[in-house]
Amino acid sequence: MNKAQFLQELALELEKQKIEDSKDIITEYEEHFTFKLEDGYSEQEIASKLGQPAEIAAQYATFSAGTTGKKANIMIWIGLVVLDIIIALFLIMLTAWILVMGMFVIALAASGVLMIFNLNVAGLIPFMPRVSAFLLGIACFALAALVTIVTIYFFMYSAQLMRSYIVWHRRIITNAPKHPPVAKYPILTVKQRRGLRHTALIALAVFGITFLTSFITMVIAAGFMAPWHAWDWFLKV
Amino acid sequence: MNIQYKKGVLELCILSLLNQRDRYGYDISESLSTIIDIADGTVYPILRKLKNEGLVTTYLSEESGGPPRKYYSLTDLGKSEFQASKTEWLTFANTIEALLKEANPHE
Repeated sequence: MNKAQFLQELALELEKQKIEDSKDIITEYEEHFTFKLEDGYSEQEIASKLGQPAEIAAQYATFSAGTTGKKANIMIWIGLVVLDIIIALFLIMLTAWILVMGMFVIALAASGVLMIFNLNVAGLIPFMPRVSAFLLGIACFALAALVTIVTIYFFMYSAQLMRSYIVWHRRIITNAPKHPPVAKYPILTVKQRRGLRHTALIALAVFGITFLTSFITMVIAAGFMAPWHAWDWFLKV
Repeated sequence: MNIQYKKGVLELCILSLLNQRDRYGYDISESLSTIIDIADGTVYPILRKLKNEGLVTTYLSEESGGPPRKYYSLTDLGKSEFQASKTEWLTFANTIEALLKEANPHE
């Protein structure tokens, strides 16, 4: 296209994007044409080297996003506040969940200790053969270990998610230029990941095996497929 | 050359050119297009952005026998921003270079 067409289309595109000072911008590109023409280029060449007016206008739109539109800014702020509230609620829920998991682990570990060392404190442990109790105790410990690992990873994941959110939040406020996003999953070394996975798998295996053998010993001792019935575990007092 | 590399560094290049001396828009556009293959039109939006952020300022200069031209110049903020970005870029480039060389020890 020639100079007139280019400038006309640019003016149109700038208007579409609601850019302020569009006259100023057009003047600048007019100057550009003037100087380039002096250097011996043709209008077609200059226009094609400038690129598409639509793309140029789009660039002005992204750059003036920080300064124009008090309205746009207010919308962004409201949106951010709402998001922050939601995130805060999520954080509260997360903390509660982790606390519950923590108590569960402690309870499991305590039960495990009681069962392994044959300490029937406050009649908490129902009747079962010594061997079964021992195995079940180990199963409790294994389960506790497993839940701990899962909770730890869950916590790290949430922490990383939080970090990513905070950075994104800051960038929105300061209207920072586009950066690659912060990772949402925890960054662990291969060794760490492998270590966590192995421990978790081992805990799972130990739990499975001890729980199963414990159950089998109980069945053998009770001579009955449902030992908890034979020994009246769940009867109302 | 990868367009993403170019885009990230255009502002830095423009600041660098202005750090050498004040220039008018066309001068920057021409100088830049000899260094990097970009659309000429890319420069002007960036100059506007830099002005909005207070990194550059403009003034009109009377040239003998011609219309007054709009000159861009770095503000103090622009100068310090340039130094910071320059260091950041060079450090970054060195880190990546070290990484790339590490991946192929035979080179």
